[in-house]
Amino acid sequence: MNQEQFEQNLKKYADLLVRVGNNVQAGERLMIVPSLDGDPIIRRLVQYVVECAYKAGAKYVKIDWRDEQITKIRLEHAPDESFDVTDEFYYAARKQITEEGGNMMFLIGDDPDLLAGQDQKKIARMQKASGELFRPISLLSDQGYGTWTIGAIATKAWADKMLPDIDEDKRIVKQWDYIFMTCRIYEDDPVEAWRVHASNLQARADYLNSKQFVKLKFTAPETDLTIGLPENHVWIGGGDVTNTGLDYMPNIPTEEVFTMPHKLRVNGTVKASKPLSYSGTLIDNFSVTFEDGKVVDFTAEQGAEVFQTLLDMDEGSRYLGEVALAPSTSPIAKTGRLFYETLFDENAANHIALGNPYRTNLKGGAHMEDDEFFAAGGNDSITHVDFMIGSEQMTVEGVTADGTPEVIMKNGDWAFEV
Amino acid sequence: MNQENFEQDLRKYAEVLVRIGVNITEGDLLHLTVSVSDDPNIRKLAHYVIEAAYEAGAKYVDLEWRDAEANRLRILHSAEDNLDYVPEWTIKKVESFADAGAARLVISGSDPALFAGLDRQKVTTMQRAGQMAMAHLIPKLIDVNVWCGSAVPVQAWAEKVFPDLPADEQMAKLWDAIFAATRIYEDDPVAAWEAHQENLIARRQYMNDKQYTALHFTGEGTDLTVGLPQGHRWAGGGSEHGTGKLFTPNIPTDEIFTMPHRERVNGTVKATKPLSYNGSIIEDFSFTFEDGRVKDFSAAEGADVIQDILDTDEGAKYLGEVALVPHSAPISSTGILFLNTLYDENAACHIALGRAYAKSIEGGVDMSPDEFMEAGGNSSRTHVDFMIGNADVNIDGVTMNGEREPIFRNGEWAFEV
Repeated sequence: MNQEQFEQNLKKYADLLVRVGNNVQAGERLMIVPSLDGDPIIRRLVQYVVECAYKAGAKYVKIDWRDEQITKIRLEHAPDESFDVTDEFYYAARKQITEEGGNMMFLIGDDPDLLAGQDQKKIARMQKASGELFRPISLLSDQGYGTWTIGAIATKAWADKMLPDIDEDKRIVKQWDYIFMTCRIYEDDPVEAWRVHASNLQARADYLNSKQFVKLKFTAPETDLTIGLPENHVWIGGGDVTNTGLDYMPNIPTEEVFTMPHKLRVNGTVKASKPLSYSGTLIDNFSVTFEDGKVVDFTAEQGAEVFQTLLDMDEGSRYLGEVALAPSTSPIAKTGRLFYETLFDENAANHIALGNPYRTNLKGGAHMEDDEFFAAGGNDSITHVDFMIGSEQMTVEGVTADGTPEVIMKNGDWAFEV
Repeated sequence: MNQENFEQDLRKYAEVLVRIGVNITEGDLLHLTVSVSDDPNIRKLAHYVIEAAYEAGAKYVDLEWRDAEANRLRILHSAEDNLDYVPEWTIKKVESFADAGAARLVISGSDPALFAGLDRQKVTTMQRAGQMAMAHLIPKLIDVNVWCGSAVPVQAWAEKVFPDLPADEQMAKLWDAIFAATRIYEDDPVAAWEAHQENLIARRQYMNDKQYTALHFTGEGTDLTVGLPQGHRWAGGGSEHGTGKLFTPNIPTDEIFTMPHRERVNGTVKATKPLSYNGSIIEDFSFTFEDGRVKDFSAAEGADVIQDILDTDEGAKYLGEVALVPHSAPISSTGILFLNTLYDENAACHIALGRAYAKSIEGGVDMSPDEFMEAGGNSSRTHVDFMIGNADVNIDGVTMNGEREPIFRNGEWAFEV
């Protein structure tokens, strides 16, 4: 890829984020939140995004660079009382954007080891405080206010972690190559390719919705897990829709179709198929046992302490909030790489999430009172952490109300046609 | 440049900004805004500032990276009809910090010609809307809370200041000039700043005690009388927060300043340095005032920009500040024209068109807008400083009974403190 081609791809990527990710319309507002890394490529990408958004008729575009290092500095230098202070200042702005139906674009490239070795108790206090604060915004999103999309950018810290086998001076370019490849930027018309891809995922979601399985059975070496699904659960894939009827893509890339488990109907043991990078620390080789929905046991070769912190976040962080199917034949899975970034890794394999569900995964859920939603089997938490359980050795069966099993995934790939 | 020394200097600069600039103490909130840059040293400085603030006891520090490029791209690509639109949420964050009494530290590296070549009218429309959206916050930000403005180099700025240097030396040279001007090369910069503040405070007290009714500036092309209102207050060497805490609104600062009586300015004044205003450069210009209002002006370059400034509102045609800076101040000694008001205004005596500071008059903070105007204050959405001092300027103070006393002779202070 020469410099000129690279620049063209960067522009195509910006265009995809604006038109498919947020689907920015004339008269709308956009806030871009890119990770700050200092790499001029990222600044150019952000400039292309701004340009695309205005060309799409955006009324106002703001760039709000996020510097992840400040969290580390805070943990190392701030007085103890600091860790209960919430970012109410940023929250006020974010809430208003969402209420106005504005667009949020997050461009992430976090250092997977940023907070390794830091005080987990302080991190948990910070996360708890901010999780509680930002909750009303997640609810607004579930009700279809505005759009949000998460895309990736190649940063030095992330590339160093993900591609240690590549020469240091070639890592960034290689990582962009992975981003472009998995985001279908090398297709002749990436926007059109995404439309086709999205409608395919949508068709899979439609099929699963028509089945209304009462439970899913996951089988693989060291895994035997049953996940009950609530009545009127909704599978979502290939994007979301705002309350004004606009399609958008919360994640680029996305390969998954997901719904909500019944909080109390999860039983058995599941072995994670990939390491999990959680709050700047790696949790590896871990296995979790559920009983009536609740995590009753876990083992982890690495990061057990951090996993415990996650479980202790609140009552809901011991229960599931999401179950997602993603084939191990996707462009991401085909790279054979571990990305150390959930945005990619969760799209390479089936996964489940501890913590808060998306209320849109239950029919009418976004407009239910809390009690009604909980009674229907919905979980409630300030956190949401995905981890991978799928592999080429996994079989997934759906069981219908009359007890009939149907294989929906075999050897990690879809087992039904759409 | 020795990288190790440079790191030390960056840390010292961060210390000065935190301890002298916003004077962070236990329990403070700090809203830090820094211009985003390709220079990794600026990110380091931002991180050192956060570190220093937490070490000084700050409860919470927010770092907001400002990206001026977004404004340039907006002018280039946005529909023209939308340029006066400012979403409420863009100022929401500043507002919530202001309401919480947070200290505000702005570290800006701005390209003096960011908007050069763009449609002037569009730039003005966008900027005016931005100023109006922020207007209601200014009193809280400026007159109630602790704040400090300071600068860092950007390549586009460095290459204009040092056009004759090779490109790879320009940034280092500008860092060097900034460190020299902000007293970072002193053995103990924080102590040097404390001594410097003491001197400025003594001079402002002298001037406050005198309560001159007017200042008379004379120099090449200048013969200007600036009337001062009754009860005017000279400030400089730091401002006092309601809690009694001393902070320094500008780093560097070598000035003491007060407000003119809006309607008592007469004569002609010639600018002694070019003015870089919102990305355009104005050169070789002079103004004539009559009863406070700009009656006439001329400029060899940028006359249209001056006209834009004057057209901001009625208050932009009157003065809001007069400031005294000796020619021997560190910035002037560097001999560098920084093309940046924060620096250049500290190299010379200056006056400003537009808004006056409420604190520049006794009781001003508690006055209604009408009372403030009645007392001789000026109100405007803008505040633009320009330089009128050099090695030749003389200033006399006129006392209540019409006597003249020397304040400046040949660009230097003419009284002892």
